[in-house]
Amino acid sequence: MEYIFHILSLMCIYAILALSMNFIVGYLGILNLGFAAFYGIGAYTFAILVRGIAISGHFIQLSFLASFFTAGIVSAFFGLLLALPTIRLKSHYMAISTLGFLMIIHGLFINLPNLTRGALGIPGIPRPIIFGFSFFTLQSFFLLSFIFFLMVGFILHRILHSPFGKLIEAIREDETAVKSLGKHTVFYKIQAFIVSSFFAGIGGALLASLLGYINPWNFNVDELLKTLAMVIVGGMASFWGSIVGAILIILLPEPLRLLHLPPGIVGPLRYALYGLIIILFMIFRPNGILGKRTNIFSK
Amino acid sequence: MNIVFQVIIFSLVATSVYALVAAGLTLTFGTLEFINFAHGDMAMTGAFLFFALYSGLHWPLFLSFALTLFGITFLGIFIEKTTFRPVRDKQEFIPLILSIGVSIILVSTVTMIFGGGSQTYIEAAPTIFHLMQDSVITLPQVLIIITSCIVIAGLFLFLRMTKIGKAIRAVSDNKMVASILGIDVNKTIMMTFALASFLAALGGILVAFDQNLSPRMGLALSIKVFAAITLGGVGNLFGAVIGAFIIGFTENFLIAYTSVPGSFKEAFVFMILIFVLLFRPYGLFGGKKEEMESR
Repeated sequence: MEYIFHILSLMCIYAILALSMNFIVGYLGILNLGFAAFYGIGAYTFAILVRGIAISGHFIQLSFLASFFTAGIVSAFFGLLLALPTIRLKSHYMAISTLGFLMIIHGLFINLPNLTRGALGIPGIPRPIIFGFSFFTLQSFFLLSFIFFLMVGFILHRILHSPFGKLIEAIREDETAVKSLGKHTVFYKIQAFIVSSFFAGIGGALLASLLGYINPWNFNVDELLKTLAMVIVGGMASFWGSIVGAILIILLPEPLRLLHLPPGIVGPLRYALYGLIIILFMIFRPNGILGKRTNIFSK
Repeated sequence: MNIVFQVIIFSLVATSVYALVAAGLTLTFGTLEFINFAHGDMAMTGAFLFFALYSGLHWPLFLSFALTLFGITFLGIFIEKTTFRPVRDKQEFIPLILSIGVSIILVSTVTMIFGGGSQTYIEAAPTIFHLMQDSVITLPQVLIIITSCIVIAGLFLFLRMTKIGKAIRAVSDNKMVASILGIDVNKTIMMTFALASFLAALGGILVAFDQNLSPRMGLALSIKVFAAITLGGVGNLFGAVIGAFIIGFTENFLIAYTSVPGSFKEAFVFMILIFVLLFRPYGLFGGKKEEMESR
């Protein structure tokens, strides 16, 4: 019974992550292969701040709510850091540079032992206590992640239907046309990166709190593929699609548990399933289950 | 102790492998116009197939070698026909994402068969040549460098001299004009894919003579090769070879002369890449075609 709430919490968290990835990949039309780095940064920031850290003699420890927020801010800052040098690059150069960013951050997680404990990872990340309410049990944690999901979903939905959101989609459709209307497109693209990485950071913080233990390999290319599969299955540039995608991709490997396969097979088989899903959707339904019939990624 | 020659030898070995794999990747990019994420994993699959035949079934060296190259070339053609052909005319990121899917399937399949750990078919005590002072080079390393030089030179000649090579260059220049001139575009793309898979398999087998094998090596190789071809300018064969040189030498010199940890060298490679793209957004030697298109 407990396990069901674990799955439900994962669904909420990954819905947040898929939505913020879709913001860049689907709505803005930039294939950001560095996305897993942002929720990695969020997760690490949260874990470090909640457990407390000594910086030059001062012991710094933040409350849970402040840590969640800081996780988003730090992640957004790195979003800005990635966007500044790369945002003008064209399509595949951008994809490879963002993948490179993931490698750089992954390298930092491993090689900053004072901050991240390196390859050992950070254990004992507590479940939050907010305004006197504790979220120790999985049931209550599900409630918390559902509230976060509703908030993030609402804010992103408002952003996407604001003039800014419409502009982002217009840039995807025809950047030159938007420029001709006197809009500084690079500026808006950087803003979109900041928004996406902020919510990715919050999602990562929730994930760290749910799992209780994180290491650098939680945030590498494999993780990226999971989120990418969610966005693709749900549909590029589809708000509800990302939520459906997150639910389906989290549920997808669960039946494998019933087959009682050896653990050495189950892990790779799960990733093979993600791969197969990605291939089939790209060939037969590149717009996903709920995607719009527009030409995302036309240039 | 002067280690500079030793570091140069290591760099040359790395460069040889990267150049082979990068050449194949940049060729497929030229004709299909997307970055094939599964390319490094083709090399990895080749290395494991060779391992299975040579170390597992104890088949003769040259038979295993030939069968592996043949098998991976065939696998490349199969993958192109079943997955990339249906999406060829779709927007450019669709084949890229699809190739990520192919890459996951290759890695998972190899992991399911061989397990996630590393394997090796390196001889315990390979023949060693002593060069000047303290530098040594093993026989496999010599063979890697020689094979790579011959194959890359052959590839340049192949693209210039033969009919298929010219067709490949024509198709990468402009598909429509090529088809008007009577070049079978489908067949040419299939040939490019076969050639690229062949080069990847060769690179994979060679790298495994020098290092341990693991299902993860495909991704590590892909990442360095992406950086190499992006540095040189995607679609440009000469640029890919130069990019391979830059990557091969940078990572080995970094590890030898600075305190940068080994697990951080990929990150450094990408810092250089992003820095270069800041000033030359289409890579060092690339981009005439793309600059024209974006105008």
